[in-house]
Amino acid sequence: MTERNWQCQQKGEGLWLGTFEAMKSPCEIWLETGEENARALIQWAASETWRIEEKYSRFRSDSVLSQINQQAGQWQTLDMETLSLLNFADECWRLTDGMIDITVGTYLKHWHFDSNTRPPPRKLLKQLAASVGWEKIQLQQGNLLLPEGMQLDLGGIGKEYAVDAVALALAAKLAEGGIMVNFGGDLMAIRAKLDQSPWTVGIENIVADESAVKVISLFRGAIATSGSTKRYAVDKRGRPLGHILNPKTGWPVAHGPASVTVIADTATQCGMLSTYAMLQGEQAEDFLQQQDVRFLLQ
Amino acid sequence: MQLKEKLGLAVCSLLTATQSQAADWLYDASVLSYSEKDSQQQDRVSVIEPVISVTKQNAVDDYVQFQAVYDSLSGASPNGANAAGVQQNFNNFLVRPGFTPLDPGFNDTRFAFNLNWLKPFDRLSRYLAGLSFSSETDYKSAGANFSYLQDFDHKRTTLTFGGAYSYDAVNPHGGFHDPFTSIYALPATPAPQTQTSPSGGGTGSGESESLFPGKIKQTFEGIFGISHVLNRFTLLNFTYGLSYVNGYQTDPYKIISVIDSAGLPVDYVWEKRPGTRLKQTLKGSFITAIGRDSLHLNYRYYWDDWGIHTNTYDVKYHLGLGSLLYLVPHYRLSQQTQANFYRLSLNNGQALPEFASADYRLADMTTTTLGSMFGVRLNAKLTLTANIEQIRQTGNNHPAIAIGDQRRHDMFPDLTFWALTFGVRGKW
Repeated sequence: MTERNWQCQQKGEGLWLGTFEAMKSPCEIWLETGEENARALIQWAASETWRIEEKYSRFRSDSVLSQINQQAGQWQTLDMETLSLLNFADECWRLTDGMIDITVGTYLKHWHFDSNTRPPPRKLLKQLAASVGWEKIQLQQGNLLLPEGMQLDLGGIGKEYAVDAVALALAAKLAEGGIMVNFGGDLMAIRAKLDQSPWTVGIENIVADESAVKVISLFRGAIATSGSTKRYAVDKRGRPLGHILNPKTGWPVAHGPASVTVIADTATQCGMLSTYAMLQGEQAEDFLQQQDVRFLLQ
Repeated sequence: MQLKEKLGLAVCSLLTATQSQAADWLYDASVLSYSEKDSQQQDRVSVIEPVISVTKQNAVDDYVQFQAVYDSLSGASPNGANAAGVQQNFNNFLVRPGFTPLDPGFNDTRFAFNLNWLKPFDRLSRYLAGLSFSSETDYKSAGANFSYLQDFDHKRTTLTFGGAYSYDAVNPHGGFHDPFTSIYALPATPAPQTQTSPSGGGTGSGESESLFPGKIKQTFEGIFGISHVLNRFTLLNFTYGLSYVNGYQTDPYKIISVIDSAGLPVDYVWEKRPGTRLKQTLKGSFITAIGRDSLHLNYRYYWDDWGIHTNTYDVKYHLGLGSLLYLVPHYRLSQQTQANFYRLSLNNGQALPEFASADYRLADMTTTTLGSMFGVRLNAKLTLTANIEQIRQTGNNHPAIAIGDQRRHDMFPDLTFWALTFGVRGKW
């Protein structure tokens, strides 16, 4: 692993911004404290984020997740953090009637969302469907049996989990002062600023991604967005296919909004709600209205 | 509950589980001290009690905790006799007229050790187990407990089934006394050790030294509990406990005044309590978050087949003052009815009851506690606390059954004292 960089710059009286790259996103840590403290906390936050990325990346063969996938077909013992994440995935799967299912990793191996690759043949996806479905997993007393041929993907949870985990840990390390953690638009403001002014966050415009489409002010809370025009495959007519797959078909959801942004308490909660909304396709807006959450569709 | 809230709870349990992994070793040390003084300005018991506990936390539902307690108790405690208008002689000390007799030789030290651990069976069930041991010069106790906890309904509801057992041995200084015999009777020779357990004698001397010398008391306990997350802010909890105690439960140091028709003492005899006791407890608690604060309401109803019924109400409010300081004011009220064999005194010449005790702790009594805890979070790894509370114990100063001379004296001097606890806790 090459040395990864982080920067720290002053953004105001006692307000510091730490920046680094992780999970294919620009990451920001906003802190209200002294310089020395800010530097130490930002360095810690960056290394913690990289740790989570390296542990759960599907694209690194030495990640814990890749090892789990490589050992499909045999019982394996999980560490506490991974077990907690899988328990959470289990809960999401139950709560969304199987629509949020981390076993879509089986399909994802054959999809390339690099904005020009064609989708895998439908016939292949049909064959793969036998190796998708969380109900086929056995999880007992910290041990996992992932049936042979199945693959897990934590891409839909990992980044938001990292946001919440880093924000929460920073709040435990820093007794006083505002804290906001923003990883490429998925963010959590765990503590309001000392002067009681809100954090302002721009929600990226999907058409012209330099200018923010909407500025959201929040004192405390979280935001996450699902769907993006940056990661897509193209069908035979050149039309983009989003990267959120329906676990029943292995195919991206059609006719839905291009992206869904949800504002609630934690980034992970927002991420699950926005992904589930995306999976509703045309009914996304109705679904979100029933959920009594603040949201934004594009 | 909406999907948003259910997901919120799931995220909470994910983050608490993973965040707590950073906190490997937790410690908590505190010292409690108090000195009792009654309304007759007599000093009673002074207590200093340091407690140290160390927890190895592997996850929220996976820890091992070791706790050590040292108790130093000194001072004087009511021996059960009533105040009287004459000087009273209790063999090794005299009590002035009008004062409640206190036994001045009330000194002991106690060591106690507890080991508890919580382990998951799977993601929805876990068990809590514990071992305990405590030792005083005249009392030893060893116990074990086990509880099984099962979650339901996306972890919103948890049922607890548990049991506990303890084995205690009483071995009083000066040996055992025959119930209802006079305290002036010649001390029993070491010979009548037939009353004690086969494993040892009350003398503490000698060849058959045992870990549990003296007379034995066994306690069997069962508990059933249910806790339920009502919504994101509120937690409800109900517990029912049943406990059966079998064995020696008489207090070997307590006596009863035997009075004449003028209410004056003519003799003092040793007390006697039943050999079995069935205790039941119902508890309810309600915890709700109010902004960043929280309110804790508790109610407990206790009853046993000795005729004691106790209602206890407890209110706490956790008040945050900024992010560094917090205050927890609390109030507790406990009202107890007397045991059916409680006697203020025995009448000379009348037939003896089967059981009798004049221990004020078995009488009608009201205890109120008012206080507050102050906490300072110095940093993420260190919190200092101070707890100050005023405890007030009141009973029937002039019960209707008092006769003659007894009516002229306070039969239950009020007790008011301050208890202080200083603590430090944190993690490595």
